[in-house]
Amino acid sequence: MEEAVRKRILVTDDEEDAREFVRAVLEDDFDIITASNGEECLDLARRESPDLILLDVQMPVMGGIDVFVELKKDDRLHAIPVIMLTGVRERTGVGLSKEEMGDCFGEEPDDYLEKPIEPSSLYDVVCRCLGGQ
Amino acid sequence: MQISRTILDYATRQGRAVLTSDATTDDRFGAAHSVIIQEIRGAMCVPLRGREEIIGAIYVDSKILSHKFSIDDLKLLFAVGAQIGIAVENTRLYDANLRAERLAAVGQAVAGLGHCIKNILNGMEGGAFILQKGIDKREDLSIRKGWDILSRNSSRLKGLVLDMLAYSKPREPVYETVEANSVAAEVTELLQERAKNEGKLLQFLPDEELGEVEIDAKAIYRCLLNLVTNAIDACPEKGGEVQVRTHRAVDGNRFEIRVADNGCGIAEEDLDKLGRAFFSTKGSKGTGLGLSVSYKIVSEHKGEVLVDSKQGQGTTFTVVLPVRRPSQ
Repeated sequence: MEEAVRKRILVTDDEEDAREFVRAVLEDDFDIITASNGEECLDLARRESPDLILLDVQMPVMGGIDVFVELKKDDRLHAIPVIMLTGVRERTGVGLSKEEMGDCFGEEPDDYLEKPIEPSSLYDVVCRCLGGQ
Repeated sequence: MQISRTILDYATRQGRAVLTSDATTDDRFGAAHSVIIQEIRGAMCVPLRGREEIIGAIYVDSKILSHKFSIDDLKLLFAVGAQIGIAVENTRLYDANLRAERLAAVGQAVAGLGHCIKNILNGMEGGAFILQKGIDKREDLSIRKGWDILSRNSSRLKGLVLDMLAYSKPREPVYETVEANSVAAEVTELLQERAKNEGKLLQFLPDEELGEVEIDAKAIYRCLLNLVTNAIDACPEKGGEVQVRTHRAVDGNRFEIRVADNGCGIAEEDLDKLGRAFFSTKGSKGTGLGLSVSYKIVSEHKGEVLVDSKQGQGTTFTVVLPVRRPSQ
């Protein structure tokens, strides 16, 4: 019997510790690739076609919201689910809630997670966004 | 000092100026207790008006029957009252604005701190998770990685608390005579390994003839630690270079410590925000306090911080300090 193909998740965060944390939580069940900035995230997304993107909001130079907008503008990347990682309760770190992002950009992220991340919440949200597979 | 509340209340409730030559026989207030007891004869009272409401009054009276206030006296009082009313209202509005601004600033500071601490906590939770996973699976590599992350974020938290304390209270420098190059040498030595691990070059180029200076060595150490750490963070991972130089200024009474990086530079619109608490361009890595603390320490030494930066080319921070402690 063939092994089920593992879903691939792209984790983008400028902090190495944060990337390692997410990797440790998810690597037993998913293939993890990582990016340390917005440009790298877009580049990897185009090359590797991940099944899900975890995106930190507060990054220097190109923040998570700018990356999100670019992802949604690109026809090849538009359908990839995106979970925003934020340090600000119920908001995306730069004064925009999920709903406000929808109003501003016409698209909402699929979910958001507040830092410090709760490992079980991270796992549940990832599974939900990937359709429970 | 006693005044007639009756006359005062009449003027302020009616919103009209009052002039009477003998209050005791004036139908408007003649029977009032205060008027009779105080034997008020001549009186003037003018309401002080703000833009939308009456905020007080000017009251003048006389117990001498022959002393009568004139219409011209009332006009003068009215004119003065109008100016005073606006001035008092403006002061109140200014105070209210100031209170609101202070509350907003406190709110912003608390939110900024909360955000920094959340990021550090995320690191600590991550380190603990990886450490636990390593223990459960008996994987030495994960145990080492988890411990390193936990320990690193513990140091970040310590640094944040120290910066908060340094920033929060005015402090007189504790001067001591030291070799001018010693503090910069210690800082660069401490950060060498970090720079090396990130593939960046950190050099210390001292002016060997600088000699001794009077500074608060611990405070200047903290100041330089923040500046050099920022410079390392700003550098690109490949080809990143930070140079720390010292030299005596041309006038001989001051000396300079320069921290130069070949990083991304600072946007022009951000240059005047440097030194502002909780302003950071380092994403979640920055506490936004380090540079503020550096500026504060230099200011307490009666020195100055000069910044030269070009986007895409790099930044040089120059700390200029007096060689001798300033005389009181």
